[in-house]
Amino acid sequence: MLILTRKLGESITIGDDIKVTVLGVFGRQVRIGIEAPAQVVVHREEIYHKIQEENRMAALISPVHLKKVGTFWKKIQK
Amino acid sequence: MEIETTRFGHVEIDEHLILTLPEGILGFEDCKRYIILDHVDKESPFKWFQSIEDPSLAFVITDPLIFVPDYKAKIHKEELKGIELSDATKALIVVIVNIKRDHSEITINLQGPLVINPEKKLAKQAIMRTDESAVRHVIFSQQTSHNQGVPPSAPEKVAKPQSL
Repeated sequence: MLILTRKLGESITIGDDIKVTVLGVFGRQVRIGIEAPAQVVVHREEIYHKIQEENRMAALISPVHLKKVGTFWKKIQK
Repeated sequence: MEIETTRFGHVEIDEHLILTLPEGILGFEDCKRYIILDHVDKESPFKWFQSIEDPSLAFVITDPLIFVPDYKAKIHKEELKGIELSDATKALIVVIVNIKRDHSEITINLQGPLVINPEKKLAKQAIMRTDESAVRHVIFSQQTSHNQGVPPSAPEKVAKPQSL
């Protein structure tokens, strides 16, 4: 991992068209601005991980689980 | 064509209905082709999103609007481009369902919906940028969880491909 020290307001450029700027430091929180081409999708890492984990859990559902749940659904409908 | 699945055995599908997810589903990036299968119970709001490549990989999906009528998937334009869609209103949005093992809770993932281009048969799992939509939005919950011991899953008989 490349580690760089930046001051408030300073930036890092990645390639030709991505710029990351430190906008503010509030105690343990750092506010970061990202300028990137529209086709570069930027997400917070924890959201990725959360969805990955949720997908892994969801992939373990069997038809038996679903059948069981189907009866609940009918109860709700009534 | 016929595909092999661990949950439903051999299933005859119309290969024209196969959806391609160029990036796969998060955590399952290697599987890129899926087919939507109807749940045996026709009244069920749930369907299966069955992998073509991996017989054991399938997700339960549903229409989020059944449970959250005001749900709006805010999908980034660039994400739509990946499935050759310029008009977000033409996208078909479904969400992945999760069921707690003791059946006490059913949740839907509103933060990572599956966005489908029905015309081109392309799809992707989009990620909402904000935390407004929950990864685990509870659509059913029962306080008293009863462990009745679920029998091991046997392949179900009828599971017909769904036409989009």
